[in-house]
Amino acid sequence: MTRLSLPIVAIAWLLASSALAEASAPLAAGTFEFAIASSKSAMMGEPKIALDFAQQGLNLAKREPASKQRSIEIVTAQWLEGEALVRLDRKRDAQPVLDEAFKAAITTTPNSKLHADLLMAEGGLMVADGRVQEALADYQNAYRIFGGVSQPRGQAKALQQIGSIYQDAGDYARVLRYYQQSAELFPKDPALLLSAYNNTARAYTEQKNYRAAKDQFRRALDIAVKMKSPRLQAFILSNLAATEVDEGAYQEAARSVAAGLRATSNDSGSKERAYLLGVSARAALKQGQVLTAKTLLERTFQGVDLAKSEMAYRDFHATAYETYLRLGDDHDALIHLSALKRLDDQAHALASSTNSALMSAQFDYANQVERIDALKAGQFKRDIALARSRNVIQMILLAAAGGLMCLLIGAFFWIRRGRDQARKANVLLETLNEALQKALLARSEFLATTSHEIRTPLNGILGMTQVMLANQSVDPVLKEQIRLVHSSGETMRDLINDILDVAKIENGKLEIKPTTFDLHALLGETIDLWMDRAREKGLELKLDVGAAPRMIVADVARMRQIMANLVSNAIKFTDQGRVSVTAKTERNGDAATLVLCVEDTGIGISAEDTTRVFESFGQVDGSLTRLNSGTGLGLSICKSLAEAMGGEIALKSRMGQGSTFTVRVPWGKAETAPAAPVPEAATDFRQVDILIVEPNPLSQSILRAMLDSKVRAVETIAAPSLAMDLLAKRAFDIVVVDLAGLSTNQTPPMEALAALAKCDVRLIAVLAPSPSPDDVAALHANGAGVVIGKPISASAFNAQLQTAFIESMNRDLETANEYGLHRKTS
Amino acid sequence: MKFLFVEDNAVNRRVVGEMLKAGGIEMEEAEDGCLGLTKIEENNFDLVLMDLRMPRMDGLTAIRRIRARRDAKADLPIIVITADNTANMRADCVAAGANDIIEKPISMPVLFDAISRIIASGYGGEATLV
Repeated sequence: MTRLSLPIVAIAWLLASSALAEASAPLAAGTFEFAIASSKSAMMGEPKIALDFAQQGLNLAKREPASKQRSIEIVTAQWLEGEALVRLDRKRDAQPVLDEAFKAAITTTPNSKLHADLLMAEGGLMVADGRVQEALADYQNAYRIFGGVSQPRGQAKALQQIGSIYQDAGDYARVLRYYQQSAELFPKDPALLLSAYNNTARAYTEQKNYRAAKDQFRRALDIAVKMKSPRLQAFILSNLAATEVDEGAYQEAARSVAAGLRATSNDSGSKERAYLLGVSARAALKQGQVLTAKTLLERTFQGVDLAKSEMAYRDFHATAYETYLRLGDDHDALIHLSALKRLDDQAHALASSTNSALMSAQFDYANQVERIDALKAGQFKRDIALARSRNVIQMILLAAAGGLMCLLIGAFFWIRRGRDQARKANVLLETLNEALQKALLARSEFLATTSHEIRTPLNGILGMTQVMLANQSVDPVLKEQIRLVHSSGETMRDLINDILDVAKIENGKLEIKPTTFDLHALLGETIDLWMDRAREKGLELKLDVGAAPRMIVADVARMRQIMANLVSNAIKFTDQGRVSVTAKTERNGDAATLVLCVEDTGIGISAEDTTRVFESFGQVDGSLTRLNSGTGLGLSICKSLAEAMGGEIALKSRMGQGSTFTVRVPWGKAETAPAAPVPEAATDFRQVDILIVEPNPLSQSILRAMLDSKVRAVETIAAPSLAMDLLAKRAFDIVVVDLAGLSTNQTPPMEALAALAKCDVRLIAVLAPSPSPDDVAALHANGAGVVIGKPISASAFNAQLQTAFIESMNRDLETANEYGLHRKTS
Repeated sequence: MKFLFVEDNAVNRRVVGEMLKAGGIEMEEAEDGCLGLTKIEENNFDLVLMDLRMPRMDGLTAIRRIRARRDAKADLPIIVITADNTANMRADCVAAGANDIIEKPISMPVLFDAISRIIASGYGGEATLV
């Protein structure tokens, strides 16, 4: 349920009017001071006049001879001009005026009250513009400056503005804190206090703490009465009544509404009266008096454009929708429902943009860490001082053992005082630690949310570059450029994944999924991945898995991640020599530990840095970060992953002599028997190597999936010309080629087939879409061993290919028998 | 062959559409689970690709609805494409009746491998090589 907050502008009016009270000494007309004072006094009720006076003041100031005084006067006049323009809803005009004043203020009178006032004005503009983060920064700065020039009133004002931002974000705990702080900071200003009570009450209502909310509303009401402002009284009463309706206290609500209507009996057109009537309508509806509700609502919405109503009318639209629905007036119900949806969409957009801005504003953890460190150091010093003073006291006590009681008592209090101080420091430390934890959590959430969001557009980038790279008709030069885009995108994705991992680790959301896998294969693949990079740098990259089991149970993805990080890290920081990876097992009683070592001959790490490298963002030397791209998260992730798997990671290193990273993780023995090499095949088909020539990447993939488990090896290649190159280097038993793949080549398909047939291949299988007998004959004539028609199911395709292969084997055997020859099989 | 991709993000739909086109497959798209079910009612697809988080009807509900059908379409092969690749979510997908799950950002080889596995295993009747 939305409650009405005192709009920021309304509060500012009140503030401006009370600010005027500070400077209302009699002034001579036509002077700068008079213009400024008049502008201030008109600001609340007549911004147009305030604007005139501000401009008059500006002209007067500009006529003075150049001096610091003149610059300050110009800035002051511009500030008022800007304020007036904001009030006249001419934000576009206000922006440049305030910007100029702001720039001048920074140079002529930095960190002054005027500077802070300008920050507040800018903040208001930013909020109106939806630039919440900048607004927040402005208010925080203003708060700081007001504090520096002992302006608690300004500070309280800044806190309220920050509080209202949190109110938009729906963070009511913070709202309460900011408003209470503001009320405590400057209880002298009734307008400030009133808005603090009203908005605190709203926050309590949101939390359904009606009793506290009503208490705050009543305090606000007292102030409004003292301020002799009937409109404010009516405003507060409408809020109070709404809370009472929520609570179900209809009689109380009726009393509040009546009081509000009485207060504004002279001002029948005021908005506050409309609010009061809206609240009564809601009460009537809740009590089943639908027709009364309807009458009241008609008066509430009198003169309001339903398509443009303000946020304050949100609840009244909801009431109206329900009322008309019950009365069966679908037409009017729909009008109010769409108004409701429009306002809710607005509120939602505001809340989510405010939330994300706040989230990043809280991302100030670096400062927090520093502060905690300073505090810890301070605590340490206090501890030492305390220990020293205790020693001193003990000596005194010994000396006084003779009976100097008074000294003893004095010393006793001295100890107590020291202890109290230490205790106080501890409490402070705890509070700050708590704050730090919260900041860290906010950071991880921020990281997780943003990195997730960044991954979405990466879908578009990586997906489309993949499609372009798979397109055979793309020019090779262009393809090389696209490949660069693609690999940059992949690097970015990896970095984002790193950041996501850190967030998961910090939130304790990291999952470990043990599966059975082939450790030797995993390490082999990792080494293969980095072999090219090592070769480029002239490094030797070695793998020794002799002493490790093949099949183990562990989290294969995390294991791969750790090894990839360690190997890439080793290569990154090694300029000559070698990087070697070894795997072995250790037994310690019942526990079996897998030990993986990555050793390099690189630059090494000094003893004091060996722990720092495992911290987030802890690349030892800042300059290295520039030389060797990376988030500096890799090693910290490795450590967390190893620990999540119940293991550890250690580093031994000497500057200039290389480093050895050792990962120890517990491992489970695979229950199932290892996928041993297939025993003696039932048919020789299981031992064939197949080359698939197929331009369509999906068909490539499907053919591979169909054949992979049935034969020894499957390779795929896009074009016949590339197939010829490969066949010159390596022997295949069967080549499966698609007719469409043959046609894409410059040479006619039949010629391409004939050329393929000249290579050392036992069987060429051609896939053709529903071939005619003539086609089949032509294909056979050009070297096809078998022609398989499409479309065809996986099982039928396998059967046909296998039959054809066995037939060709038999034919060869017959031929061999006939001639007494023996042909080598592969 | 004709596939259906149920996904609310237009860029993702376009990307997968282009990937499938490179593989010679026609793709129809639907913006949420409800529209997806309607499309399945009106067409004969060979395979369905399904996002999880969508307005109106999420992917898991849509999968359950498909599996609850009383005709042959109940056996449509379904591959889930999601950014939410946690163990819980995978378990939910399998329980709902998904045949496979692939992760976003979508990689063409991974997508094609998943499709290939389904086609090669002959799931959903006589899936064929085009």
